[in-house]
Amino acid sequence: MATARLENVSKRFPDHLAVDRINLDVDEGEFLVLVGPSGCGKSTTLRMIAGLEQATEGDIWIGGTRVNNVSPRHRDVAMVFQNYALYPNMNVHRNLSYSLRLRRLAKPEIERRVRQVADSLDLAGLLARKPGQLSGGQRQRVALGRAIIREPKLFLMDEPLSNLDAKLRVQTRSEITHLQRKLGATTIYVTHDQSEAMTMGSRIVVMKDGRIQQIDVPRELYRHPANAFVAQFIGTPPMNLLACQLDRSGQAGILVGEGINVKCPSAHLSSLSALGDSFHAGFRPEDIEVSDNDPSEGLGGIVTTIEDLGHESLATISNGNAQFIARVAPAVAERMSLGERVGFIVDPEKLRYFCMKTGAAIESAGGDKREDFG
Amino acid sequence: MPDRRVLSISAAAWRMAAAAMAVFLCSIGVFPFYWMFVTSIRPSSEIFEFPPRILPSADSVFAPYLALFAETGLLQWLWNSTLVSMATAFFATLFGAMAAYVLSRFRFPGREFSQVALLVTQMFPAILLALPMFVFFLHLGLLDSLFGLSLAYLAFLIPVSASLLKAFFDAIPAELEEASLIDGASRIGTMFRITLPLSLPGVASTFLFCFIISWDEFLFARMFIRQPENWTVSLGLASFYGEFVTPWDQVMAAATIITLPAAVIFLALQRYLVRGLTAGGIKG
Repeated sequence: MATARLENVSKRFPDHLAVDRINLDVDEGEFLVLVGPSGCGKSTTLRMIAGLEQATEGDIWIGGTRVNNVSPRHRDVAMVFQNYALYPNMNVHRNLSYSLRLRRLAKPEIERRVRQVADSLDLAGLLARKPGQLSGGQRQRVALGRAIIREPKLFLMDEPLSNLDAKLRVQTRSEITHLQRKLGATTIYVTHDQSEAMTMGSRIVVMKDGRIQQIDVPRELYRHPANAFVAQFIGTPPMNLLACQLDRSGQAGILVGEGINVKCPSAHLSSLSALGDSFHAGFRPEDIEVSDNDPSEGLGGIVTTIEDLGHESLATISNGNAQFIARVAPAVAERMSLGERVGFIVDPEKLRYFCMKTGAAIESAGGDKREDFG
Repeated sequence: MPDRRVLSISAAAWRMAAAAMAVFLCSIGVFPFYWMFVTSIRPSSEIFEFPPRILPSADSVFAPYLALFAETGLLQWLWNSTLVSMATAFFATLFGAMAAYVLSRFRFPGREFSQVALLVTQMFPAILLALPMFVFFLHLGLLDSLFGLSLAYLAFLIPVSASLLKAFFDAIPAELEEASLIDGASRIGTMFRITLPLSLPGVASTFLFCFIISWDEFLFARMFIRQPENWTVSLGLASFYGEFVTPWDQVMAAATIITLPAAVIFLALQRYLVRGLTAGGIKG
């Protein structure tokens, strides 16, 4: 197992810039997830690490060696593809042993490793089958097996779960996490699914338009997003953002806008002055509670939809152009009716502030201003 | 459920009609071969009978076949043709595959132009190619040699083979090759281990196409080959046409024999012509 490092790496295709000067350090044994919407450059980044794309600029290091000019087969990485890419002309045994045969390993050693991997992935009964005779989940496991049998320095996974149905996806998700911990394998995993990223990654890299927006552990990413994009990309439903202004006419500052009228904690005031007149106030749907106060105080608006998820409900509240989502208990949701005016209170300490123009976050409390990767 | 029954009856009628159509079309294709064979074993007195008899004559004779082997160089011509066609088909497929792979997988300046150029070479009449080639071969001393004839065939078959195979390579997902490259194979290793086996139907049909074209070819053979011992089957067959007499029974017998190798090759490769070998490797 090894570390990986990207220094100022860019990839320019004839018609667009896919990856724009990214820097990344992957520690030994780490499970790093690259996440972002389609076209954000995450797969291109992975393919550059694999050697399937040549970096236009910058340096790529694997285990302390610069690999920019090293061909894929000499990089000692293994990759799991989105569509599995199993060799259809070979059976499972030959698919698994392909890389070992190319390395001219001794036959008994090949047999031993195939058996071991087949046992650990529950493929022992399928060795003679061709990929066309396997189910989606089985193909997925063969693709994983083909990667781990190599014992490579680095595992690269390009959306390996996106072709599985929802139930199998959740199951395989935990299998991959478990396998990765067991092997202690340095893994770079690409997905567009933020819940996959949150549950699997020990660290997450959020990308957009070829740039890294934020690198952090899942909890921090959720609690302290570096900008409005991360705030809205991570979390389902996303963080609510309400446009507002700071009213300093009274003794305390008041955040005023459509649907929001909240007293601003005094500790936030100094940092807010850097944001100018208007900015976005952000809060998670679970950070607000229904209140019996006047709906014009705190947060408020008209209930436009209620989604019942069984264990909780999501209520969409509209006020003029502003809209936010509240996560409420089913019992609370039952008392709500569509079109009703409802007020909420929010814990001001949990408010986050984002610049209207750049989207960058201003850390509200304690002065631990986070780095903006954008 | 009267509707359903009516439907199933009309469906059955459609199937019958389709089957009858298939039989009819097949018989159009097969009849010339049948006629060729039947004529070859008919006594020569009956060949020009009118109205013609569809069924073989009761006095069928196999003498023309024996005469062919005893009196003409047919065996030699068959051997020459086999040599030329096999070598041509093999090398046209091999070099065509290499060209097709590069055109299918790599992006380089001049790629589009090369593809168009391949097609353009097919637009000229063969005789236009044959004349300068004749002069060229004359100077190189390649006239009247089977090797030279093969070279001439390769000149116009490699572009065809490359165009045909490119379409097959394009249909193979790039991920399969990328997986192989990461697994430790070289480019050329990947081509031989993954791409070619997966395009077997394409390779087989290209090989067959090149084989049959060179087996049947007459114009180049006529121009480039002089000595009867170097004749290919098409030249040999043409030599039967006399100024005053043409032994039609022998012509038909020779034609029957000449058709056989192509048929054998076709039957041998037939199972590879079935598509669908790539099913299952890639989800989707």
